[in-house]
Amino acid sequence: MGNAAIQTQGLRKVFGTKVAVEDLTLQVHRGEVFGFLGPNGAGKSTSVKMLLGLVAPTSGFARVLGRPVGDVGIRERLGFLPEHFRFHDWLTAEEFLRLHGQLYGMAPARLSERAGALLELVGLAAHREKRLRDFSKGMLQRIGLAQALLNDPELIFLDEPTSGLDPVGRRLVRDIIREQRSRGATVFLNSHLLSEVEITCDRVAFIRRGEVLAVREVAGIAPGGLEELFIEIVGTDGGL
Amino acid sequence: MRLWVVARLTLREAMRRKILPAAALLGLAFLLLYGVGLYLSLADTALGRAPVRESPLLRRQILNVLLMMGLYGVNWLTVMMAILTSVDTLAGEISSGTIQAVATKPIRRWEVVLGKWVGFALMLTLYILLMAGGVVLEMYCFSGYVPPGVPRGLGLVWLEGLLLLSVTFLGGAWLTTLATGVLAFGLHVLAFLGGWIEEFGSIAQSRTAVNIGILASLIMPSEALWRRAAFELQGPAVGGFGRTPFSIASVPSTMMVLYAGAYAAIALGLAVRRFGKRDL
Repeated sequence: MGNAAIQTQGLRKVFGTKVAVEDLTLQVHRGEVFGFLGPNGAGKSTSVKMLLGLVAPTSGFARVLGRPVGDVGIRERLGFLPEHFRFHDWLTAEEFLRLHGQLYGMAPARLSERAGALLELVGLAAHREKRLRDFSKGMLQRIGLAQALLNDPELIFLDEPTSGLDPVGRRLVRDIIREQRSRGATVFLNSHLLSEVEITCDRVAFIRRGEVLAVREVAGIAPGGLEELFIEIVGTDGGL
Repeated sequence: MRLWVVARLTLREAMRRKILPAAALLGLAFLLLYGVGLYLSLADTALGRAPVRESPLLRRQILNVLLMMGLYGVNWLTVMMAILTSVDTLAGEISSGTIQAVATKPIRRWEVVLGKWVGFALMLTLYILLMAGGVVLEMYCFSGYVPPGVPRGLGLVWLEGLLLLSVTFLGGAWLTTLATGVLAFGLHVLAFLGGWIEEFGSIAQSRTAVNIGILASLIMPSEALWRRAAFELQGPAVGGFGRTPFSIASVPSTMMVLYAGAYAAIALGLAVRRFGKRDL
């Protein structure tokens, strides 16, 4: 357990009468890129929100970096790119990063340095003084990604990070994920784009109705075989 | 402290989204209009003529009515500012998902709520100082008249603003933006009607009407604060020549003022609690 970045046991979330996550039991090791695969409505985003303390589980328990979810201190070591990256769009790119750095409690000098470097990394250095409301969907996703990496997090949650991106952007995300892994960070990648998962992840979990159906090493799957495996495990009805 | 990061963000948002500039501009227009009206009234009416000039009591009463007209306007503007500027801050960010990137940072949920509240409270304070202060100053400049109880009166209007702000926060932590607006305005209008019923009851000596008014003030004490403020600002000497539109026949008690303060604190506390527990 000490080595687990994420550990959950029977995590369950019910909204009214709708069961969003049935029974999530999962272990993610430190330093791995973990793919969380499932059809739309499988409870992926709700699971991520529970792990981040945004949504309170109805029952079950979860630990993130060895601490119970909802622990405020642990969030200094987490990064998160939300699925519907909606940010304060009246801020400029630079102000946006500064705000989130301040929320992380970063020292001003380190924050300036990180913000500058990340704007370069995500290719938005030329747009640092542009307001987010004038950003395209792809640019918003890039700035959201920069925001998630500000504090050099140990564990990064990326909820559908490539859904709004063109091929160049997707490649950028892929490179960033690799770079984060090589620095020793854990990446929890929520996606339904199988090809992305196949290229970037070490292990994948197949989710349906908020239950883990199977966990597989990506290295053990034949190239291009993830789709077959997905259909075999999850089924053609997508779990609906 | 991260609370201040959120407070500063709230102020900056008000600037960027032109809420503060618009309020300042309209506020200046209001003060200008009031000032011109006041100047013309003083120059051109009975106020300038001998019988009134020679009766300081009568003159003071008329000047006080003119002053109360201005402050009554400021009071309504304060009510609107408190509700309209803050109605979307919690509910809107929850429904759009903007709150998600903030609430997953190492900041406690109560710091998010209180940070926003402090930002809006600072704005309201500035607004009341500028607007009410402007009206009082114009009156002094044009007539030399200084009403009694200015700090107390303005303090009560300020408390009224904070009370409505806290109630709006409670709504926002719990309901949608629209429902929050309906709740806050609805409660204030209830309080407003209750105030009139209480006044009417007091003049008509109907204990039942007074009690209904007090009950409305207990449900929402915002208007009671204004009525107490109006009482403080008119002082005992005003009204010596009969009732004015701003006379308060049934003066809300100090107990009611304390109740309003506690009401605001509890509403804010419940907002913090609700926001702390809800799914985002």
